[in-house]
Amino acid sequence: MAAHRRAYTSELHHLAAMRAQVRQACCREWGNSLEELEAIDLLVLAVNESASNVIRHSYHNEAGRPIEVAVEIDDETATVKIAHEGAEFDPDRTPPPSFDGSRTGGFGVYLIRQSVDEVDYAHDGGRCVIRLLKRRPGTSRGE
Amino acid sequence: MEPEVETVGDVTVVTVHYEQLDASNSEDFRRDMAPVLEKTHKLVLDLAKVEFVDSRGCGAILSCLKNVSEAGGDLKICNVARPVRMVFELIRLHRICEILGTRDEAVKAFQKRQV
Repeated sequence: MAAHRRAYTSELHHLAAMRAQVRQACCREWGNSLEELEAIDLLVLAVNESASNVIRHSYHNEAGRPIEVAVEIDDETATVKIAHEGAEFDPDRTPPPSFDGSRTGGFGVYLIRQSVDEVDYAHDGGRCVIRLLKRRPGTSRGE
Repeated sequence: MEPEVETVGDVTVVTVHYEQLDASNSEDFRRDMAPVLEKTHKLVLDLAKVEFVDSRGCGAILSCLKNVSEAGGDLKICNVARPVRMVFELIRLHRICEILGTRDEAVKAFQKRQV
């Protein structure tokens, strides 16, 4: 299993680097079929939305707070853990999105759930950890 | 950097200049679009340069759609990269906003509507 861990701080401009970290780690270990690339795109989207929620809701846009992104990949799954020290985020308290154009926000949690196979929120040594798991397409455990 | 704005007849075409339209720059995009939206209600967003969009980026685009719709106009989107289209389909944007292959097709779609 390959592991890639990197520390960031809580500024939105770091989202691009987080996305690049996850994308590069996955592309090194998985193939480049369209299905695999789409699976990686979806995982990257889920990482982006999760980290964006951490910065905006858990840290309330306070700069300089720690966020760690750890990627673990094997032949069948990619798991990303996003750890932070901000307020716990309860995804079940977010209202469902509206798809009729009447609201321009509220898609983040929905996109996370749609993009990965597993998502959970836990505590680890005083930190909140968001775990996102994506199965590799074409494997026994994937689609 | 300002977005590239072109007028074709009564249609305004804006080339979105952000390669990644996300939470870090979606407010900048909204600010960029404010003066454009004051002058037009037939808008094409050309996303040829956009490689990634997140929920906040989608929100900014939906805000453009809402704005022109309330003025009796419409928004059409063109030149959408595969990962961007994937996000649009997840939030079902393609059901409320026409997505076309090219800029010409998007402009012509307004003209067809007038016939």
